[in-house]
Amino acid sequence: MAETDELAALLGAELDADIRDLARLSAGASRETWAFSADGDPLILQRSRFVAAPGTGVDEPAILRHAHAGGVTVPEIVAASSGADHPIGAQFTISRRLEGESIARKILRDGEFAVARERFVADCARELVAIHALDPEPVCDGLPAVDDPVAAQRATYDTLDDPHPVFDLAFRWLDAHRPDPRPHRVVHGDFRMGNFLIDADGITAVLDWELAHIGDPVEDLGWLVARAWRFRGDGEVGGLGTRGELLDAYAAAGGFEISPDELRWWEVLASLRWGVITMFMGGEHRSGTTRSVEQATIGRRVVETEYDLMLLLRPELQTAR
Amino acid sequence: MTNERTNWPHDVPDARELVEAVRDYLRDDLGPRAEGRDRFILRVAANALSIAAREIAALPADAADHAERLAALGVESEQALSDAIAAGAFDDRMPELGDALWATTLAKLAVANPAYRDEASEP
Repeated sequence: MAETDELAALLGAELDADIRDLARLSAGASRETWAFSADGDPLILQRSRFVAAPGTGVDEPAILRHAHAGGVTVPEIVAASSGADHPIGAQFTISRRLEGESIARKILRDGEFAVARERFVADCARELVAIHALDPEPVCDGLPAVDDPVAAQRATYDTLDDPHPVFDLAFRWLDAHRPDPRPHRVVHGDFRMGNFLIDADGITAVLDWELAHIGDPVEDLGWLVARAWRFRGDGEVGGLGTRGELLDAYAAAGGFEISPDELRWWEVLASLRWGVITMFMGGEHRSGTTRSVEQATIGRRVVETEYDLMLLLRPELQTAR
Repeated sequence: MTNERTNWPHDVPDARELVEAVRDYLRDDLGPRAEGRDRFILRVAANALSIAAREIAALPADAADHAERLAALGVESEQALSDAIAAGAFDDRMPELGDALWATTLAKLAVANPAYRDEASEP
């Protein structure tokens, strides 16, 4: 209670407003989300206790403001601070609270989202084209650059020191079949079902920009179609629609033409990336860094990505089965 | 239930049956009475115990099959297989390697999450 009262006082001073209904929505090891109203306006606070080392972190307020100005559907920032010794948090954003649902299970199945489901692939394509059309120049100082996404995952995999032969096969295939590089753009980095707010009419906000970076834009499409984000839906794009429909919608919205082979390469990398993340999370439990039954069980999801990779690499495996 | 493992030093209920008993309590008794995050965590915990019970049941046969597959590929360990694949040693043994990796992957998935299989998409 004391923490809530103290934060309410800080927010009141920051916004020069009457703060009501302050409540914590979620809390991670380094990041918290709070909801409140200021003079009756519904707002969201996201704050981090730590700031990443210079050159490695994401300046979220800067990228969110840039995305908003560029027509990406993101919440409007009301106040923010990054890299400063501010009493609210080392880095924080206060943004308008938008209506919408983020829980995939409800979006994929509840009747009220029937129209939003029909529009989902086109909505995703429109947002991706808007993100990839942003001028990287004004934000490149606040975003890490990823020049070799395969090497980045390989480095993490090697650090974990837990052999998975299917991953080694996938790394070898990725290395040998790199598509022609695209000009580097702003990449969202975690553009997937679960990170959108959606109402009856479609996407109302693209959230969770903390993995944004400068890199090859097709990465965002590969991540979006990975099976991890289908939540048992039948479709390939977050459980809704096909890969082909996404590529067509992306081109129709003003994006470039992407071949199914190029998308497949990025989907293999996306599956591998999720596999490495699940290995990492299971490892965090085993090492004692973050002990929890949830974290431990995620460690046993690694084989799901091995299975996905075996299916994706079927043509290369040339099995007699 | 009779104890078929007459050479086993321990009594029954065996490890698998004990794990399943706790799983059933969390899932069927405690879970429905819990709320919010506790309810979610109890579901996750019951699932973790289901994985453990399946692993206990499958382990003897899975371990033997896995050792046999590694031997057939000519490697001594999972680490050695990883290193050999990364070094390109299996580039021209693809059908053989693919079959072995499929078998290992399906055995692991049958324990960790059997519902994940999408047999219509399998080769």
